[in-house]
Amino acid sequence: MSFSLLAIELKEALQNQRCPVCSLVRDADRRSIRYFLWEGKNEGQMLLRLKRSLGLCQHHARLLVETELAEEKDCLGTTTLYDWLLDLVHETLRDYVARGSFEAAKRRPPLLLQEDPCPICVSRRDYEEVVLWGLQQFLAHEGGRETLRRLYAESGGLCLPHLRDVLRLTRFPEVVELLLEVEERALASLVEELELFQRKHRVEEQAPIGKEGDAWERALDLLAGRLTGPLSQSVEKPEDESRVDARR
Amino acid sequence: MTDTDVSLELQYSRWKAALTQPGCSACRISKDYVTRYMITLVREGKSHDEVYTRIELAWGFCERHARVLKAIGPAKLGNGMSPTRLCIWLLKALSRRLTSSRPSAVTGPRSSVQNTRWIWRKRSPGKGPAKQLDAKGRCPACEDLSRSERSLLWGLQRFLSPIRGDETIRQLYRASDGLCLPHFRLAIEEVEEKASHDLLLQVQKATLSRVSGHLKEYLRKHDYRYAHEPMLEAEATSCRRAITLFVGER
Repeated sequence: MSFSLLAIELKEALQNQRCPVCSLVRDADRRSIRYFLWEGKNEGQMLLRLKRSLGLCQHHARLLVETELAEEKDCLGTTTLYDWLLDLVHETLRDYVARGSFEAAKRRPPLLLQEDPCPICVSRRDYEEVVLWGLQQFLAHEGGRETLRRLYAESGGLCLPHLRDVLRLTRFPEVVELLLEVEERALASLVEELELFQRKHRVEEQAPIGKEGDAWERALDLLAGRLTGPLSQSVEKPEDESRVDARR
Repeated sequence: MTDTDVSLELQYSRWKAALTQPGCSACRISKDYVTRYMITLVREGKSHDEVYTRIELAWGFCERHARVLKAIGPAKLGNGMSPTRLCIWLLKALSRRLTSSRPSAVTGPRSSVQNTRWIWRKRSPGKGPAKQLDAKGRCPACEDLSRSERSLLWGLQRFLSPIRGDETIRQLYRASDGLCLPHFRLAIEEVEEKASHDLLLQVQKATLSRVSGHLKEYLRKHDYRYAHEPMLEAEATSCRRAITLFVGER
C-alpha cells in the first residue's frame, strides 16, 4: 500500500474521535469482501484455504451475504461457494461414518476442525499491521508528518488493543510519549462524559441527555476495539424472496 | 438430587422449546443465555469484588460480548446506568495504569548489568507500557459461557440416549434442523453413547442434505431455462441458512 495513500486515509479517519485504526480496518474489510465476492473466491489457492477454514468466520460470512444482497440483489455467488463447501462437509461426514466404530471415532482427532483461520481475517490482520506501522512512522519526528501529528494530538486516541500493538511496534520515544499523552486525555474526557450521564440521572439533577448518552458504548469500544462494524439492520429483501411473495 | 440432575432438569424445558423452532437449537438457547448472563453481570454481578476483579483483569469484555451488551440496549441495563458505572470503574483503573506505565526519562546505564536492559529499553521504548496495559485474564463472559455451552451439549447427548435419555427430546431432535457445525462438533466431543452419537450424525446428515438440495435448486432456478419456475421460500433463504449452518448464530 502506498505510504501517501495511507496518510490520506489516516487523516480522514482521525477526524471522527474514534480509533482510526479500527475505522480503516472496517473499511478495508468491506473492500476485501467485495474483491472476494467477485474475484478472490474463485482462485485455486483461495479455494484450498476455504476448504481448510470451512468457509469464512461468522462476521465475514454475514458481511458477504449482505454485500451481495445489497449490490446484486441475489445470493448467487455466496450460494455457489457454500453449495460446494456443504458438499465437502457432507463427504467428510460420510467418511467419518464409514471409517469404523464409535470407540474408534472417539479416539480420532475432532471432526470438522478448522485447519486454517478465515482467509479474510488473515488479510485483515495483514492490513492492520500496515496501518499500525504507518501510524507510528507518521507520528515520529524524523520522517513523520506534521499534519498527522497535530491531528493525532487532537484526536480521541486509539482503542486499547491497537494502543498496545502500536506501542510494541514503535522505536520512537516521542511517539510513545504522544500516544500515552493523547490516551490519558481521551480517557479523562470519556470519564467526564460518563460521570455527567450518571449525574443527569439523579433526581435532583435531571436534565436532557446530550452526546454523553452513548458514552458507555464508546467506552466499551475503547476497551475492546471495534473491528466488526454493525451489519445493517434493514437488509434489502432479495429479489428471489420477492419472487416467492409475488406468487402468493 | 445431584448437581447433574439439577442441570438436566433446568435444561430440559429449554431444549424442548428450542427444538420446535427452525435452525440450530443450541444457538437459540445459547443466545438467550448470553443475553441473560450479560444483563445479570452488568446490573448486579459487577458489584461483587471477585467478579469485578475478573472484569478488570480482562479490561472489560471481548469485542463480541461488548457488542452483545450494546445490542441489549440501555433499557434493560438500568437506563444505561449499569454499564456506565462499570465503565467509569474500568476507565479510571486504566487511566491509573496508563499514568504508572509512562516510561521514566531514559538515562544511561550505571553498570554493565543494566547495560543490556538499557539498550533493550532504548530500542523498544513502548514495550514496557504495552506490557503494563496487557489484559491479565480472559473475557469473563467467554470463560463462563463456553463452559455453559459445553454443559448444554453434554445435556443434549444425555437426552438423546435411549437408556438414560428422554423419548420426547429424541423425537423432537429427529424432526429438528440439527445443530450448526460449531455446536455439532462440540456435541460429538461430548457424546458418551453410541446410540446418541448415531442419532446426532443421522440428523446432521439429513439437515445437510436438505439444505444442500435447496441450494442446488436455488442455483438451478437462476439458469435462464428454469427461471420461470416458482422459487420456494426454503430455496430463496437457503443461502442464509447454509451460512448459519457453518458459523452458527451465537
